[in-house]
Amino acid sequence: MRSPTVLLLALVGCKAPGLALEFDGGSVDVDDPAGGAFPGLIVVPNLDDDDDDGARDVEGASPAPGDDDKAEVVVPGRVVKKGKGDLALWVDGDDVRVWHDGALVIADRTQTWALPEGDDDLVLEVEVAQGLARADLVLFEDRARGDEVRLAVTGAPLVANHHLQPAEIVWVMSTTDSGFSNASMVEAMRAVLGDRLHTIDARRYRYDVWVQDEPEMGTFTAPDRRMDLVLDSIRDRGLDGFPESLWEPGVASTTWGNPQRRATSYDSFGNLEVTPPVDGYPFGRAYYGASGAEGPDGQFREELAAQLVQAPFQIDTTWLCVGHVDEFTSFVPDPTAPRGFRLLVTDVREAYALIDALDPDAPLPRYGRDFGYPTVGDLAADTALRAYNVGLQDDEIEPNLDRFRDAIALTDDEIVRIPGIFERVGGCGAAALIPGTVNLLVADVDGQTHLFAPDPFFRADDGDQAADPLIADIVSRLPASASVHFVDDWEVYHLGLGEVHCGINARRTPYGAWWEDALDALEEAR
Amino acid sequence: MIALLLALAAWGADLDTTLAAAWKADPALGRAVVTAEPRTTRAPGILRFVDEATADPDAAPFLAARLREGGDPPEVRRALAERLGRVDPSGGAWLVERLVDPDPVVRAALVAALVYAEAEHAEAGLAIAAKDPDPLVRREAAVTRSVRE
Repeated sequence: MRSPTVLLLALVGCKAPGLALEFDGGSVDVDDPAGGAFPGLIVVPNLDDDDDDGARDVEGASPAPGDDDKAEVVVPGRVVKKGKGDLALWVDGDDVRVWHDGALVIADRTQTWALPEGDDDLVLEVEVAQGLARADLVLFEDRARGDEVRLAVTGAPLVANHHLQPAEIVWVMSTTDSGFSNASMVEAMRAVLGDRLHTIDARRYRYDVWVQDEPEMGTFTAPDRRMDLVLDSIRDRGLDGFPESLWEPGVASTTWGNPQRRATSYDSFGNLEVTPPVDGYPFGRAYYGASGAEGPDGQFREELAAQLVQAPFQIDTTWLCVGHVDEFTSFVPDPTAPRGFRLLVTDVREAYALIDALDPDAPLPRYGRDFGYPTVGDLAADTALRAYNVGLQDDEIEPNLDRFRDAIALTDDEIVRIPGIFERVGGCGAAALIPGTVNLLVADVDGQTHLFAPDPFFRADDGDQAADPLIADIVSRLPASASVHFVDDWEVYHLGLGEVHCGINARRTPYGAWWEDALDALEEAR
Repeated sequence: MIALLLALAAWGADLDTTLAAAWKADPALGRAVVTAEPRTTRAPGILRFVDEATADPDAAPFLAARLREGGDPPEVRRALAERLGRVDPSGGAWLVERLVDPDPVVRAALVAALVYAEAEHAEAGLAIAAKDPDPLVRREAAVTRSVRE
């Protein structure tokens, strides 16, 4: 389906054609040039592969059969006729191409194209190559005289997903090898998500279970079009080929960042999240972990910031072994909250308050086996661990909350402190010792919010979640409207320094109209 | 310094004795530890032992011996150091002995593992680590000292 946007050039005046433009929702002519102002013609970047030739459609020099991502423009025949072969077209800007009758007539800003003489409507197709590409489509007769009319062309910016958007597809790797199985977690998710849950073959992707880390999901949207984007990290571990496997008509894939640079853990997309909508940012703000010289690839940061709509900010994750924002923070929907969401954050003092109130003789078999704490008392009595955690709370977590307060005016009422403590991974940094509850999957399905959190196994009997005091405490803190599912991620994820959120990714339903709702921010940035 | 060197020599001799006894007592465990392979994690380059054999408190001499032998790559030696510190807090001498490891991440893990070591061993190790040429090791030493206190 082609965009119905129409560029209509009407001749008025005497010396030159009375250049004018009309398109869906607006018009511009020499007497009213403001009608073609930014954002003007809105086009999704043509980064998918409609003809399945293994290349992005925008990279081809011939039209891709089936391509439906260009915006159609028509120069009416009466304008063409009056121009008598003296009209020409060019593009003032980068990353915009123009097609006519199956031929590429303008490939870049160095080219102009003389409109052929005739009486018929002239159908043009405009495509863009980048998110938030900006240019003017210029029709002119004599530029020296200023006889021209301009229509702004704007590529849709990438809008990365946040947790308040409904989940359409959730991906998780399914691994069932003996001693390394997440079958129970996958089945628990499938019971709720049904066909929305897509499993990834473990062998094909070399058991790289960290599905959060390789792709980042988002969308490009125009008034009549949606294109999903799978952003491909330069991380490039076992899942390197996974983003490309999702590449199909209507789904684009591209890499941001310098793939020649040696990636660090900060380049993984568990270290990139988006806040829910806040004042001035109707699509939320992106945030990632960095400090000083440590953080995501500089080129990636520039490309992310260039999208403007979700103006990124940074918090400090360099104290963590893995170093990702999803390890100690997560946003969840809550209709009772002032802005409809709350920030979950790990809190070690809340954890110790709970631990100190429990029977010290209560057995913790999983903690005994894997961390050397066979009872609650053993964990409580580890003064070095306690000192380490209190230090993390005061020196790292609380200052990070201040960063959220500064960036999105987060209030204390919007913060939910979730009990958790960290272990110290020598030579690396902190990692969740109690499975990190905040590291969870949020899936709004048919209007119901489901939270899939790691089972803390803070009990003697693995099978008796009802007897787990930590689960009871956590549930009492989470939004009452959410259905909470505690799933077993211990072997495959927790012992590998990750949790549920690290192991999933989600395609979510876009919303809103950035060309209206975020226009102030975009125009200000211009 | 001389006292420290003498102490290290004595601790090394202790390890030889303890290791010989351990092999005699449980050769199957020894073989399991020597051949155990750590798992990859979400953190690039960070491996961890999560198997039952290396979690056995009696595995400490075998872990220490494997660490001392030095035949594993740095990522594995880091994981061995971490596991050793976790399964046997009394094995501090073995950790200190390996502070000569050429890889700073391994040395940092050894220093972090000293958090539960007996005071004699921890103090000796932290004194060495405080003068380490690598800032990561010195930083781990500072953290270890602060949380021990």
